[in-house]
Amino acid sequence: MMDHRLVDLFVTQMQVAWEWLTGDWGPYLLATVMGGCGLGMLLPGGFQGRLARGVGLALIVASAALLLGTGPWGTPGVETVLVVVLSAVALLASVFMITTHRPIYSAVWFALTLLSVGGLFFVAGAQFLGLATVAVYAGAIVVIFLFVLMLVQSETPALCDRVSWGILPRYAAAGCGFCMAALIVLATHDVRNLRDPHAAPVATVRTEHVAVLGGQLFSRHLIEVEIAGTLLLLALVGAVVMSRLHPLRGQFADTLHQALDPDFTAGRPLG
Amino acid sequence: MNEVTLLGHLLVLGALLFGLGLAGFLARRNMIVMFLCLELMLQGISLSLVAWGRFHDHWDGQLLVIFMIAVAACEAAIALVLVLMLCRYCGSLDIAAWQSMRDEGVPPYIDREVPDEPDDGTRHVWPVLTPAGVLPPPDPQRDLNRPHV
Repeated sequence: MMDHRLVDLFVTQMQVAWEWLTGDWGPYLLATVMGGCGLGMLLPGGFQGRLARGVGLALIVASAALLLGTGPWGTPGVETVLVVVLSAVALLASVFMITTHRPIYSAVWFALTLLSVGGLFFVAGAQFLGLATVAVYAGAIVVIFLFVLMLVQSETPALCDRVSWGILPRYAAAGCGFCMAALIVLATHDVRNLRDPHAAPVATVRTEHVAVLGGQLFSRHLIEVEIAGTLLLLALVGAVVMSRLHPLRGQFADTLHQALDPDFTAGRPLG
Repeated sequence: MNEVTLLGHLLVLGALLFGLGLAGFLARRNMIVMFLCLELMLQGISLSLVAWGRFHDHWDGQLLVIFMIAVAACEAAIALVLVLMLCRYCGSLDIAAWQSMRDEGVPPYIDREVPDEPDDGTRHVWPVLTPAGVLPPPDPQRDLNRPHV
């Protein structure tokens, strides 16, 4: 009798789970699991072999394709090809960026991601932003990152680049990232599946783009521009001041030492 | 491809970039790579903002991204100086070197297994020195996370 009820309960639960998987949320759940497993295999400390890395990459690509395939595609055109190529490059480059063992390569892959995101900005009609992303991000910020890497890291890859926080946190982090992505995609489900018969085809170039953007920036958002300029100046001054300070010497260093190290005796030479 | 499908595609791509950056930030231990992952998350958000701005035919999405780039530049400058100081202090970019600031009662994280890096001929070859003096007593905790060099 008891067994019957348990079996019935099990069958019912399995039916519910199957309906759930094949229902609206199924693709998102599947994408989360596949992407989490794939990325967890690829992250540092994971599998090293060629076959395992290929399987991990294939899982991530399948997960991304599943998420991208939940919306309509419309009639293909030149923009479709551009968007597909650029987003494939962006995704692969960012996967390689977070999985490679060498921080320098990481920065270079990030620059490739930025280039393709800049291309997507061009397709989406934001020419100024595409240019700014390539010039400011890929041209300046990534170079600062490379500069600091050159200053601080002599031997690559260091221990901390070859390992992660252990098996469970690695897969949990990967699953968490893909779960976040799937939730955002799920939240925009209604908008993406909007069937608008009057939706215009994509027009890539808009006339007088920069002029209108500058007009908006310096009329409606003038205060924000001033604040951003002040912030940049403050960051510049702050960075100079902080880099002039000798690292943690004096009374503050002693306090920090005592906090970090119970058997610290004041006056011990640092470094 | 019309406006709606372009919006949908850019939103999914932005979500994926954000998720990848989040996973990398949680899983990586190198402080500089963690900041790169933060920048990747910002890129995902910029894509979403541009897509929404285009969909609603409004300029505020792009303007917000311009301010985001400015703030990201400030953040990169300050954060990299901080990373530089932390690295000068403890001699390593490993964020686990700062785990002595963890909560009370939490056991320290110790690497169980460290995979071997395949030797591709680019590793340093250090000179072999003749041992001299008395070997100091080993301290496994200190050897794992050296407070200074």
